[in-house]
Amino acid sequence: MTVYAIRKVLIGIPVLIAVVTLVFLITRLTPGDPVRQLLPPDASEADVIQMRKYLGLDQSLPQQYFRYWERILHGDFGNSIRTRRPVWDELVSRIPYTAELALVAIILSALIGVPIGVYSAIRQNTVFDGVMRVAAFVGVSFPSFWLGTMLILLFALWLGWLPASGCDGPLWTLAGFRSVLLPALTLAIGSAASISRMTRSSMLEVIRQDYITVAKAKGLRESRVHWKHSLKNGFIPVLTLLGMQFGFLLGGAVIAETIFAWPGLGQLAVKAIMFRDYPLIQGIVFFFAASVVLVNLLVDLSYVFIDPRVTTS
Amino acid sequence: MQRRLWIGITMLMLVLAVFAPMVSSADNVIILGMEEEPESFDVHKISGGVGMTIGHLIYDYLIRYGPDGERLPGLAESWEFSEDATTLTFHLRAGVTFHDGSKFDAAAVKYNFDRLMDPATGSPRQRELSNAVVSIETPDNLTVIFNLAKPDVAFIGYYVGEVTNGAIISPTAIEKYGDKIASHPVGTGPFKFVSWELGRRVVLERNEDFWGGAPLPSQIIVRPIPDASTRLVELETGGIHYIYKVEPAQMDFIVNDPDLTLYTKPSTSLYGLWFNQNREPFGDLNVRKAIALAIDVDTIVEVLGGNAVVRSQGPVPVLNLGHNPNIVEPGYNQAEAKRLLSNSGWALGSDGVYEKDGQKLEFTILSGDGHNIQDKQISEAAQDQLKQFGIKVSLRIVEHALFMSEQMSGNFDMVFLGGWFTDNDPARGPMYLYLGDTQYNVFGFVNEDLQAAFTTARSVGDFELRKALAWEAQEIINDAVVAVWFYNANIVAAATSNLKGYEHNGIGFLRLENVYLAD
Repeated sequence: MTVYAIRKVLIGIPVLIAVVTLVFLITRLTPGDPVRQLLPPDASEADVIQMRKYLGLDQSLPQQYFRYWERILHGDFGNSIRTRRPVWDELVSRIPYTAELALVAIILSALIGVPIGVYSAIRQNTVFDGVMRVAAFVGVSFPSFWLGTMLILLFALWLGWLPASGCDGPLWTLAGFRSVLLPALTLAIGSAASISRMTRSSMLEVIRQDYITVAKAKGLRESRVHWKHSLKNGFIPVLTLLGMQFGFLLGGAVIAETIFAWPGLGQLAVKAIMFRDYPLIQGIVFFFAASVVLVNLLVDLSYVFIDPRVTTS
Repeated sequence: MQRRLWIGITMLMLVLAVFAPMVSSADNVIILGMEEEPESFDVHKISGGVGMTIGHLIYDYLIRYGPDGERLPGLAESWEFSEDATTLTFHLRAGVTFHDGSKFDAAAVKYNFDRLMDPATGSPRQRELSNAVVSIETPDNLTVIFNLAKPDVAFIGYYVGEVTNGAIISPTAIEKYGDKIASHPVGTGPFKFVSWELGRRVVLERNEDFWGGAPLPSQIIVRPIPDASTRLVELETGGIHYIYKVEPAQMDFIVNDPDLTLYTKPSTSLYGLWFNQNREPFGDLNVRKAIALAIDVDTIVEVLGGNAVVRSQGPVPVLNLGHNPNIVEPGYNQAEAKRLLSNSGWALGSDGVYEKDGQKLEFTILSGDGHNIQDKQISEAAQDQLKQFGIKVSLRIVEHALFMSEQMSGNFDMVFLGGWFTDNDPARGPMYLYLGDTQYNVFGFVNEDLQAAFTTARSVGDFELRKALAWEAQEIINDAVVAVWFYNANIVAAATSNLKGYEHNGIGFLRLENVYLAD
């Protein structure tokens, strides 16, 4: 088990190296210049040169690249160009918010997606199944910037039930819980749709198996057969999808956090990219990549517990 | 069955609790919705942005600006230039203390400007300021003398007034916090810094000892809300009381909502389409003028700008104290445009496009998309009108960061551009666009008379003479048809109608000392 885990972690390392290199190159090769935005409009060309030197942007690309690695290996992600704060501090202050949002969104999407998928499979080709399949298709197709705005209009403006934006406190407080609902729902609807489709097709395969027929023949209650026997075996592909959805959620968070003024990494990423804040963009993407690698590692490891046939040897 | 009923009732109660609107009690707490989070409160190191805007609530400057851009005493009660405009003396306000209890005096002013001029600080103004200032003297506790390298009346607008980096920060706090002063600002302004939760909010509280009298709001809360529609919904639902920047598309909606109030005021800004005279055929005055004559600027501004802008006049914002009201722009006159083009040897080709020596009259307009009011739409309208006239125009619409770097490297034929020129002294304003080595000087327009008029204007102490020189400079720029100018943007803010006592500032500064929430 330990060896299996270590091997999985080792596979993650080249992924991270590739991500750091790619992001470094993409940010530097994208046209646009943070120094010009940092300086007042009437600054002179000499000011531009001086500021570039001050920020270390006057060095050649390879020099900057290797210096960046040297720093990362010492645990230093550099300073944001725009705010001049250490990138690490920026990340640490935002991570809890994005983690909270992603967690609530994942839970919501599983709570919505799994039961719908199971029920659709059991009631295959009924009206419910048809409606849910169309709903899933529509759900996947909603762009989150539109969905988010609609949810704000409905729940904040017209009904006045929930706050329109911001984070009003930690998740376990009532105000905090209320404020996370809309952004989390925005993220969850798309992935709930994917999850319900995956659950449905995976369940359909399982309920045709002989042992399900046997379980039914034994006289077990229908609900017990489906929710315990079928779902447990049909859940592995869904779990894999949940792991993959985590990456999509982080991507979606960039938009949802901007619409809902949620103080997480996604909102910070938008600002960093607009400003060409190289160290900050790199720090955020590095963190995103590392967390996706980690979550997928956890998903891989969890197979062992769900399905005894999966071994770590 | 009964168990299920109870579970159902409990669930229902929980849902109701979650969705019940929350009412917050507020003791004149004003909540602001800003388009982004402050980048830093170390205002010596930033230029523009929300950090600067909120910084104005925490810090004071030697000079303040009134609602119409007039210079008013700030931490300096009075100031004067020497006869030859090389020495600037400030007489400071007595009895002022910083929020940390330390005393404000001449030494504090010197400390701040020394910090601005120290390369280790990394201020965007460091190089310019060090070149402009020879030394700073403090003959007594309440007098500061700036000895300048050369006569420069515009020095106040450039380095000392509120538009600049010259906020006075507590020296004790800078020593205590070092770089962390960026998140622990200590000034002498109307509001004291309390806390900053990154991405969520900044909290300020009333400075009871403010030299201008204790402000009315007990607290100011600043919330970053990047999405414009969300900001408006928050304003409507009372989540915030004030929006600092309003999108033009939202203005009509706000005007028609009795619960909201819209504030607008013309600003010292200028926007238009500039020519790159380094590129042909814009080296030819006739071509530039013909293009200006072929665009119906008045109609475009009226239709597309709405009440977000006012039509400009000439190369300087109308509100600038040195604005020349006698400037006559080329105007809209297609017949005259045709005559000028044919004078320069251009003739209409078979495809309806002007050509000369086999070369078509065609070029590209570079524009951002929404960063400036209606930039893309105005570029499109100009493109359409020029096309009908016989000039082929392509558009290159790019996002802001790319736009800035393309524009400042001079990589354009024509560019839709603009900005704020906050200090309204005749020797300030957009004239620097055509002078010296500033990074905006990319239009290939060189004129020695202009250079002379401007340099003299900066060194002349007499206001009327400065104004006369500024008028002359504007005639030169206008006659050369350096650009087709469209509008001066309005400064637009919105607030809930129960927010009273607010005075909208024409320079764009936030003043909240006298603001309160009516019942």
